[in-house]
Parts: sequence; structure tokens; C-alpha cells
Amino acid sequence: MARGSQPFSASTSSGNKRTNPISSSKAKRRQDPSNAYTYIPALPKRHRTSAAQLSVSKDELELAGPSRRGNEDSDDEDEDMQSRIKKVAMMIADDENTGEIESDESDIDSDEAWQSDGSDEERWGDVFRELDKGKAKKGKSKAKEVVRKPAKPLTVNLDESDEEFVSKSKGKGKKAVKAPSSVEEDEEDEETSDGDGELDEDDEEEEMSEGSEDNEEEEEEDEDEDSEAELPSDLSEDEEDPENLDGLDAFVDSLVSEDKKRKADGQEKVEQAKKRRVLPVVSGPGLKDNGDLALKNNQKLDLSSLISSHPSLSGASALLPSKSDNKKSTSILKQGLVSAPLPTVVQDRLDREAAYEKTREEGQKWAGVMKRVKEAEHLSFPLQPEQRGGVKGTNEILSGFKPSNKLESAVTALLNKANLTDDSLTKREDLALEAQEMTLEEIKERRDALRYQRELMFRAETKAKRVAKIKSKTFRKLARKRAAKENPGMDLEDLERLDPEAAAEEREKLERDRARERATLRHGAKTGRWARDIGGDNAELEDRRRAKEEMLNMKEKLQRKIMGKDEGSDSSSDEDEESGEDEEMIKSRAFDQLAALDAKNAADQEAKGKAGKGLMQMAFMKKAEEREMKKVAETEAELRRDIEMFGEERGTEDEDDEEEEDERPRMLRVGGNEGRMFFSGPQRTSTIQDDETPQPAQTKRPSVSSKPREPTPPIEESLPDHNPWLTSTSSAGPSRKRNTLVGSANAKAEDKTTRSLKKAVKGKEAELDDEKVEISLEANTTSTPTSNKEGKNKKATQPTNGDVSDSEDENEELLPISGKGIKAFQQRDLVAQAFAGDNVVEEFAREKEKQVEMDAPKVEDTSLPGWGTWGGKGAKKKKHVNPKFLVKTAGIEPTQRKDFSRSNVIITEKKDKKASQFLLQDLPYPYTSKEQYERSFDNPVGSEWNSRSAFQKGTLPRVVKKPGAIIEPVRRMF
Amino acid sequence: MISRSLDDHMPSSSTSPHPLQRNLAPHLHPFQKPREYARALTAVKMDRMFAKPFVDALGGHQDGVYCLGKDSRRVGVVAGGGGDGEVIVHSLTLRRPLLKIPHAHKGMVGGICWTSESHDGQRGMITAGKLDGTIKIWRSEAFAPGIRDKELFQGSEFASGSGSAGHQQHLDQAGAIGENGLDMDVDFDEEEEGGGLNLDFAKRDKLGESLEPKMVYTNKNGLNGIDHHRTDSVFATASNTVQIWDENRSAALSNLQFGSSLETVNKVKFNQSETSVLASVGNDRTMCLYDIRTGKAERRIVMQFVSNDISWCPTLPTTMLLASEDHNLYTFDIRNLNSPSQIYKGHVGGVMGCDWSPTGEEFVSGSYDRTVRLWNRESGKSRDVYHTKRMQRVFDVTYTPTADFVLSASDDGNVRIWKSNASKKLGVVSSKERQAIEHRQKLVERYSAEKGVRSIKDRRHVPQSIHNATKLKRDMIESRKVKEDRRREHSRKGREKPKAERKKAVIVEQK
Repeated sequence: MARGSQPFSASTSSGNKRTNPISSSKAKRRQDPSNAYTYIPALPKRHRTSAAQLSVSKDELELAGPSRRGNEDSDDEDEDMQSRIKKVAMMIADDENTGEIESDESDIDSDEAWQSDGSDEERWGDVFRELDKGKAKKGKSKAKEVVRKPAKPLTVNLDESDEEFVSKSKGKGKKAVKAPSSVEEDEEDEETSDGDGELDEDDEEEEMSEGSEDNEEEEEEDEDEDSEAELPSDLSEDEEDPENLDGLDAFVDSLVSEDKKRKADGQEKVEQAKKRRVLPVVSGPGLKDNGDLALKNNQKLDLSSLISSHPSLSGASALLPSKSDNKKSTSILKQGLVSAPLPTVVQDRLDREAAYEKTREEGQKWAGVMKRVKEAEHLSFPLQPEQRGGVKGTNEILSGFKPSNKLESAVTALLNKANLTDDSLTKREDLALEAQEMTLEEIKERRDALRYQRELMFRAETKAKRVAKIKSKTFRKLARKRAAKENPGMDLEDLERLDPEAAAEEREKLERDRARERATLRHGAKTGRWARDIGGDNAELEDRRRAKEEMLNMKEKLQRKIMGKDEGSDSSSDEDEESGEDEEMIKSRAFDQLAALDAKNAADQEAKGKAGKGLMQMAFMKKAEEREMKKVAETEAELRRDIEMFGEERGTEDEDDEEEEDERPRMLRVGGNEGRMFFSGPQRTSTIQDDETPQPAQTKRPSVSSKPREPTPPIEESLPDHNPWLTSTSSAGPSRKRNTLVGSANAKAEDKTTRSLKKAVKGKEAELDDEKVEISLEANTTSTPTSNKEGKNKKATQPTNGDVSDSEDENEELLPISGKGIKAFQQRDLVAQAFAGDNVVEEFAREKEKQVEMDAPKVEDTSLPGWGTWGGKGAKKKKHVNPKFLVKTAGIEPTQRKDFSRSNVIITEKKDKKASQFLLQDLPYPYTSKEQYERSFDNPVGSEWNSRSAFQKGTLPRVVKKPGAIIEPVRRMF
Repeated sequence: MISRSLDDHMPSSSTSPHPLQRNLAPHLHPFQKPREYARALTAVKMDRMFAKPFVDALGGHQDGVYCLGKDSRRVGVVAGGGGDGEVIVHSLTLRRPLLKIPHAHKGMVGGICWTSESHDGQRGMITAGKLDGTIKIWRSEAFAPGIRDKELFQGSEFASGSGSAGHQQHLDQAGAIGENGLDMDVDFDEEEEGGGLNLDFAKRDKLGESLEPKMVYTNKNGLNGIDHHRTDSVFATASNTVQIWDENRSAALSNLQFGSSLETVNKVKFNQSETSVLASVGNDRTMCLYDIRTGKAERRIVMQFVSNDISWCPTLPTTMLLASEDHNLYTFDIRNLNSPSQIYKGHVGGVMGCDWSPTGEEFVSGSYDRTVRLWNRESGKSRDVYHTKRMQRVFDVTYTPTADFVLSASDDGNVRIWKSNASKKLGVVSSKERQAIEHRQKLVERYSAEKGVRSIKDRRHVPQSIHNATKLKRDMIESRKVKEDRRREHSRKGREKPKAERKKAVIVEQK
């Protein structure tokens, strides 16, 4: 049946119905797809003739099933119909509940169909249960009945399909026992729900016709059983006239109420009980009067017409839905071909799933409560308070506030009088806004702008605060520069025009700056960028280097001065040191400059040979240069002369050192006493000799090696990239130096200094040291030469260096201490004496070494010589020892130690067995990290460490309950 | 002359704390951790020293006791159902039977429960016969000797539950266990004047024999379990289906079954908070969920082994506990039934009964291995194990409604009372002592991860047989695991994946 699969909707059908003229031609009816009765090829004549019969039985609903399959796409229609079905179902169920009307098989089936509706589950649970029971009993008998009947060929066909079905769905055998029609519909429904599409069109067709035939048969039965219970119905008319369906629909609606009424009355006729449920039994108020008439006229039966027909109900017609609504309301009969019920197994499963879903939802509602219970730190039973209702919020209280006593009412009255209530305040605000004649948008805009401004200001302020806190000088400098760059001050000229005084001041300041710059030579002709740019010769580079060195020299000298200030008071050489120093400095600088100029001249002369380019090569420059040179030469000569005359200054470069030498006191130990020393006055010695043998100060005891210090070697000859003065002053404090100076005998003190020096001088020097150690002349008092040791032990060997008389290091390190007061020496000496023999550092190193050795993994050879080998003459010693005789002891490699790179500490790598018994292997459950676990012990629980309340709070158990009280399960509070 | 002012030692006002007589400066109390550890060690030792969980055995049964029915509204009353059909209502305070019903049923008693309300001052007890398939409602004043004014009790939902002392006294003179602390220096004579307790033994026996059930229902099949709705007059029984009955109707209200399954149902229990939901465990290794509102079975899970008992958590309404034949207990969340939320291992025999503590934090289980175990909800190992030489197979256990005691019914015909906390002191405890106890507990809890403390805390002496069985079981499990590992090793990669223990328990979840 191709027509059945055609999609159609309610609206089209109703439209058709309206426009169609009343006709009784069968062919036309068939074309109309909306007509449910299209699918009933041949209804028995009786139906048509029995005009008053309306049997809105569920058979018919079922009958409508197949066609409904076609219009799956019209959902709204379906829904509408569902609701309609429900209505009828309620009616029927009511009947069944009373148990007065027997339900037969077909009823059950339809019930099943309705049962599929999940929403009604709860209400109709009981009903369904009973229905199910009835179903189980009666299904069988009915099936038999059906079989008993003379089956038409189509029925036979159906049986076949039945069998098919059975084979298809195993485990549904119970179902299969049922009446053929129901089974068929089951099958159908299965198809529609599952979308299997197993049945083909032919099958469907068969079912359709079969269904109709079934219906036919049952109708026949009906006829037999209750011929007198005939009602005015337009069912038969509908065959001819589909338009009357609307009326019928309305009629069915009315019947629902009718049925209920009847039920309430409790008047049940036995005949009605006997017969299968034909819904409308008792006529409605207006039905008996008008029904026949209306039907005779082939008019549509309308609820409104029914109501209006009765005088008492005439007013009620206004309550009825309008015609347009009626148009929408669709009839079960018209298009509501009810889908066949599912097989009970499937149906049950669906029911269960829906029910479980519901239970799960209910359970989900408890989630919050359960979470709180689980996570609660303390549970105090009873968990739920006796009375419901919690604490009110402030708003709640305020909103419900009513003055209860005199005072309150007085206050309220006052507030009201002053217009200070909430309402009046808001009103006033509104008025104020209105008065400004601003639109709401404008106000908003303005407010936003203001807010933005404020925000910006706030940010700027916070930033300024933050910046003001920064103490870094570099940052300040950079900031200043940046500021200068960003907003450079006015030009001097502009300033002059505007404010001459300020300009003069500014100029003066600039001048002063310039003078200072020149004086400090920071931007001298040799070192400035300009100077660098104009000439790039080798000679010049050399110059520059020298100039730098000179500057460094100067610095050193100054520093030395600073250090030896107190000493200077003793030395008779310079009483007016303060003034003299400056002069000296200036002079030396002058000489430096001269020398540099000389050198430069020489270089220039050389360079002149080449064809140079640039500024200096220009004629006027040359001339000017010559002129200048001359002048300079003159001045130089003058200067030299002066100096010669005064006899205080000598050559340019070497004199510095000489001078130093002079200033340094010469000291000798007296009588082997370290505390007493003889300081020779300023000595004149020949100067720059590297390999100069020192003048050995004569000592009484040879064991105490006290030698006069070597004169300082010129700096050029010391390490080129390292200035020991600088390091010695910066890295090691003066105290150490003094110590060293005091006694070369005091190895300990020397140790320190050498070590500090050692730190500064690295690399090849270290190797040098080692070599020197080898040639050490005297094995001194405490320090035993451990020079055989490897490089690892270099540190240990260090101390010995102190004794080496002619090592450069020593010289370097000893020199800076030259300018010290005697008092200091005495102090140091005393201290040194007090701690004589305390070789702490060395001892520590030894101890550490021992520890490292002890902790290191060991392999001990326990094999006994001679055992397991050939003995006697000529027997070779085994190369490899049997590993089983090698006893290995686990330990920690020296390189793996924690203190490997730290010479000053010993970190024990031993495992503390006693402590280890308190350590855990695994982290206990709720904790996720070690720190977390350890933190849990931070706060002790005991009363010694806590106040009373804290102690009580801390020890409160998780579950607290009143003794002897029943704890009831949680109640549902939502 | 020594003179002390009392003001220095008294609080300045009634609400302010007592003045502290010691210096809290931390440098005066060094070594806090070592000291606390030492204290914890002492505390745990004390805990074990005072652990005397057994309170008493309630005798009187001629046969083994196979089911217990606790009255969740009264603290001191419990009914035991014997193997010979005898039902005895015990008073826990008096430690003697209140009433003996010698032939309540023919054959074993399947289950006992109490009605939610009382009629005419008579508390109702419902018993179900395992063999004769009858359900009987008994009402007697002897069940609730304290109730005199019925309006106090009738129809009120847990009028007593919150522990308001006044109500309690009215309700329950027979069973204020916790309040009297089970001290036997309670004056019996005074108590017996209270209600129906002034019966001598002969009289009591006579009363029991002559007691007729108020209502008898008959069922075709034997009943294995029974449970009452929390508030309504509805109860559920377990035979081959789950049936819902009304106290006022003679026929079953409805028959709940999953599909067409007709396997024996072992136990059925109502949820106490989501009161219309109930669950059953069946012989076909299933656990099934029902709702009496829809009248439908909702979901069913099939497990590896049969579950013998079921219990709903009173504070976590979606949590249920299953006592399984495979020696384990399982908790399930009904929102997610495809795997248990926790497995509790420790028994070496099938678990026959289980019950949640009213606090919902702990539960008790009784096993066929003759032990009773106590568990914390959060941990998979048992907190404690109780056993005595004379206790035989345990068939049912229950917590008292005060959560202070645990009752066990065993094969040897006794109902035993145990303390739910083995070392808890019964009777009045001064606040000072209570604080000390709490302090000790806290210390033990804090240091319980440490080996020294843990080893003392966890050590339990169990009978030789159980010890051996535990060892054997461990070996078996281990060897099985090894075998599985080997098999996996020699199979194609990825073919056999190890399955989580929790996933193993449930075979299928049926919709």
C-alpha cells in the first residue's frame, strides 16, 4: 500500500476536509490520505447502516496504527494524538480499576501502547500492573478464540509472519503466544522504533488488511453481544463523509467527562460490564435530543452545537474553544492511528530504564549533602536540626521589618518624616538626575570617563610609589639619563636670553665639570673617544696601554697611602703627607704625560713617513702641532730643571717603585722573638731587579726563617693581567696581611694569606707553585710538605708555599702589608703566638680526607697468597684474583659526595639507622607530597603547646554524638 | 604564711576560660615531636590494653540465631529469630529476654523487622518464616514496656530520634543503653515497675506462648528477608520475588521482579532516606534496585558471587553495602552501578551479614569464618576484628541505633553484644578524662602512619584457623596473580590486559 507511506500532516488534512464538499464517493475518500478509514477496505455493511453506533474502541485505535507509521515526520500531530490517547486511556483505566468492565485482549494491547508513555508512569503504576496481570491471563484465551474462528487466507498469511517473528526474537516466546493481531502490531512497532526496516511493504499491506479484518470480526462480536447499546454515532457516516470526523472528535471529548460522571454515579449496567469496552454508553445531555437529528442531516456533530442545544448549558458555549482551535484539534480517528504496543520485554526494559533514570536523578539531588558529609572535618550527630528553616539573612530581616515597640515606631516615624526611607532616597536620586537634563546614556558616558581618569591617576600614582622605592644606583643613573634624553633642558643661549643669572650659574657649573674632567684625566687626550678615533697606530695603542697602566699605578699608590696612613706618622720622611701626596701625584702624572707625549712624538715622526690621512695630516694641524711641541718641550725642560734642582724627583717611571720601597719599613726580628722587631729606616736599594737576591736579615735561629721582603718588582714584570695589589686589598682584609708579615715562621697565618691569594691567582700559577714546592729549601716547623700528593690535594700543599723564600706569590702577598703600625704588628703577633700550632685549616683538610676515604667504596682482597695456586719456584703470581675473594664494601664515591665542591665543610653521608626507623616508606593516604605530610606535624596537639581552647579544638574527634541518643538516618530536606 | 587568692585560679567571668597556670613559651617545651611521638606510642598501647570489646551474650535460643531485627527507634531492644522458628525479643540493658515466642514459625525464621509506628501503645514486630512462608505481625506491650502514652509515639516520625532526653525516657525504659552505660548497678526493681517488665520468667514464657499474631499473611514461597518502610505502614519481603505488603491489607500490594526472573531473593532492604527505593540481593548473584512508586525493578547487576546481605548507608543515601560470598564487602553508588566504589577485604569466609553504623562512617560485618569485623567506610582493610572461642558462624550482625554497640547472631544460639569501639570506656566519663582520651586518639591518628605506632595499632590476634586461612588465601591469590602474569607474558601483546579489581566484581549491569 503505497498510500500508507505518504507523509501528511494535520493541517493539510483539516484543510482538505473543510474545502471538500460533502460527498459519499468511496474513491474520493481513498484519495484523501488524512482519512483514517482509507485503510479499511471493506467495513461490514452493518457498520454503515447502524447509524447510532459509536464505538471508539481501542481496536480502532490499534487499527489506526499501521497508517500512522507513514506520518512519522509530523510530530506535533503525534503529540496531539498522544494526549488524546491518554485521555481515553484514563477513561479506560478508570473503568478497569473498578473492575466492572472486563477488558479483553485488544484492550490490553492498547494499554500497552499507552504504557509506553513514561510521564504517566507514576500515576498509572497500579493500573498498569493490574493490566499486566490481566494480560497474562487473558491473552492466551483470546488467542485461542481467534484461531478457532474461520480464518481467512490473509490470516493464514499472518500466522506465517508470526512464526517469522518468533524466530526472529528469541526469548520473547511468551509474547508470541498472544493474539496474532497484537503480535503483528508488536512487530510493527518494533520496526518503527528500532528502524530495522525488516518488513517490506508487502508485509505491511497484509497487516493492514489483516488488521481491518480482525477489526471486522471483533465488530461482529460486538454486534452480537450488545446490540442494544447503540449510540448515535457518525462512524458509519464517516465512511461516506470524512468531514464529520471533527464532530466525532468533539463527541469523544465530551464522552470523557460523560464517562467520569457515570462513574461517579456508580450506576453500572451488567451488560456494559460484560461487553468489551465501548466507551460511550450513556447519552449526554443533549445527545439524545439532537443526536439523531444531526446525524440524519449529515451535519457535523459539534460540541458547541451539543451544548447550545441544551437550554441550561447555552451559556457554556462561550467557554468552548473557538472554531479555529477546533480546526487544530485532531481526532484520534482521523489521523491518530495509534502505534502498536511494544513487546512487553522491550517495553519493560524501557520502563526500567526510565525509572532508573528517575531514581538516579533523585540520588543526584543528594550529591551536595553527601559531599558535605564526606568532607566534613567534624560530624556532630544529629546531623539535621529538629526544626526546619535556617538563619535569615540581613536583607530578609530588613525587608520584613516592622516596628514592634514604641521606640522603633518613633524612629521609623522620624525617618519617614526626614524622607530617609529607601524609597524616598531612590526617588530623590532619580530627580537629581533628571534635573541635570542628561540622558541616561550621557550620564553613563560621563561616569565611565571619570572612572577611566581615576583609574589612570591611580596607576600613575602606584607606579611612582614603586619607582621611588627602588634603591639601585644604576637604575637611578639610567633613569636620570633617560629623563635628560627625553626632555633635554633649555639651550644655554635660550637660557641666557631668559634668565641671565641662571645661565651664568649653569655655565659655571659646566666649566667646573670640564675642569674636573680634565683634572681627573678621565677624558684626557689619550683615552677619550676622540683620541681613539683620530689615530689608530700601533704606537698609539701602546701609548694608550701605558697611559692606562699609569693610571692604575696611581690608583695603587693612593690605596697604599690610605692603608699605611698611621704608619706614615712614624716615618720621618714625610711629615706633611697630606699635602705632599697630592703634589706627588700631580707631578708623577705630569711626568707620565710628558713621557707619553714623547713617545707619541716619536711615533708621529715615524708615521709622517707614511702618507696619512685625516685631520692630523692637514697642514694647519701640523703647524699647530709643531708649535705646540715646541712649547711642550720648553715646559718639559723647565720642569726637569726644577726637579733636578730640588732633587726630590727622579726618573719618570721607575721612581714610583723606588719611592714605595723607601716608604716601606724594613723590619727584622729581634732575638727570635716574634713580637719584637727591628724596623730599619728607609733604605736605598738598587731598583729593578727581578732576580735580586734578598738581603737576608740575620736571625739568631735558623729554624725560624725570617727574611726581609723582596722589594716590589715593577708592575710590568709581574703578571700582566693581574694586579696583586688590587686583589690583595679587595679580597683579603688587612688583618691577614699583617699576620703574614709578622712571622714567616707562623705557618698558619701564612697559610691564610696564601690561600686567599691562591684564590685570586689561578691557572698556571698554581703549577708554578707546585714546582716551587719541589725546590723548597727548608722544611719548616709545622708544615710538612705534602707535595707528593696529586692535584686534588693542592690545597693541602698550599701552606708550604709560605716558606718559599723566592716565590713571586709571596712577594706579592707580602708587599701590601708594608705600611703598618707597630702596634698592629704586636697585636697580631700576640694572637699568632696564642694560637701557635693550631693548624685548623690543615687539620680540617686532613680530617675531611680521612672521612672521604672512609666513606668511599672499598674492595678488599681477602685471598691468601699461595692458596689455590701453584707454589714453589718459578710460580707466577696470579694476575686476577678470584672475585669471590674480593670483598666489596659499599660506599659513596668522593665525587658523589655532597661536600665534594665545598672545601670548608664535611657533610656526613652515613645513614642514621636510629633515625631511619622513624622514616616512612610510603606516603600515607590523604597526603600528596612529603612536605604536606611533614607540615601536618607542625602544630603539636598537646596542651603544653596550645591554649586550652586550641587544645580542645585540635583534639575534637571527627564524629561527635550524644551518648545514648538514637542517630536517625538523614531525612530528605529538599 | 602562705596565702593564695582564689581569683588567680578562677575564670574572670563565667564564660571566660580558666586562667592558664603554665607558660606556653615554646622554648620551655622543646622536643615537641619526639615527645608527642612517645605519647602516641603510649596511647596506642593503652588503646590495645583497654580493648575489651565483648560485653555479653544473650542466650535463650534453642537453635542457632539466623536473623536479627533491631528496632531502629529504641536503643535497647533486639529480636532474634532462631532456626527452630522461635523468636526472642531481648533487652540489651537487662540482658535477658523480654518475650519469647516459641513457635512463631514452622521452621526457620527468615527475617524480623519492626513497624514504623505503634498501635495502642503496642509496638509491632513483623516476622517472616523461611519455610512456612507466613508473615506475622505481633503486637505486645512487652515489646515496648516504656510506652504508656500512645500519643507520644503513635504516628510521629522519630519523635525520639534526636536524643532529647525527656522523650527518650518516656519511650524507652527498656533500652537506654548508652545513657545508663550498661552499668549493671541499675536498680532492677525500680525499672521493672516501669512497664511490662515486671514479669517473672514463667509468666513471661506463658505470655509468649499465648501471644497470637495480630495479622498473618501467607505466601506460596518461603521468605528469606523482610524490611519495613521507614515511615509508611508498608514492608517488603523477599521470596522468589520481592513483594510489597501493607500492614492493613491482607494481600500483597505488588510484586516486584526484574523481567521474568524467579530466582530466590535473599535479602531486601529499604533505603532510609530515599524511602521509596529498595534493593534486593538474589541467589542468581544479582543485586536489583526497585522503586515502589513506579512499582518496577529498575536495574540489576550480576556479580561474580552471591551477595548474602545488603545495607543502605544512613548518611549517604546513594551508597549501599553488599556482603558477598566471596569473602569481600562492596559498596556501590546507585548512580553508578557498573563498578563498586570500594572493596573491603579481610574475611576468610563468606560474609553473611552487614550493617552500617548509624553515623554512616563505619559498618560491621559478620562472616561464616566465625568473626565479626568492623570497617571504616574509607579504608579497604578492617579496623577491628572480634571473635570468641564459643562464637560459631555468624549469620547476622547489626549496629544498635546509638552506634555504641554491635550485635551478632551466630550459629551457637547466642546474640552477642560487642562494643563498636573496643577500648571505649562505658559509663560516665568526666570531661577531663574525655579530653585525655580524645587527645590520645588524636595522637594515635596523627602518628598512625609511623611504623612503631602502626604495628601496635593494627596487630590483632586471631584464632589459628583464621590466621592459617588468611595465609592460605594470600598464597592462593598471589599464585593466581603470578599465573595470570605469566599467561599475559606469553600471550600476544595487548591481548590480555590486566583488569582492575573493582571491574572484576560486576559481570554485567542489566538495564
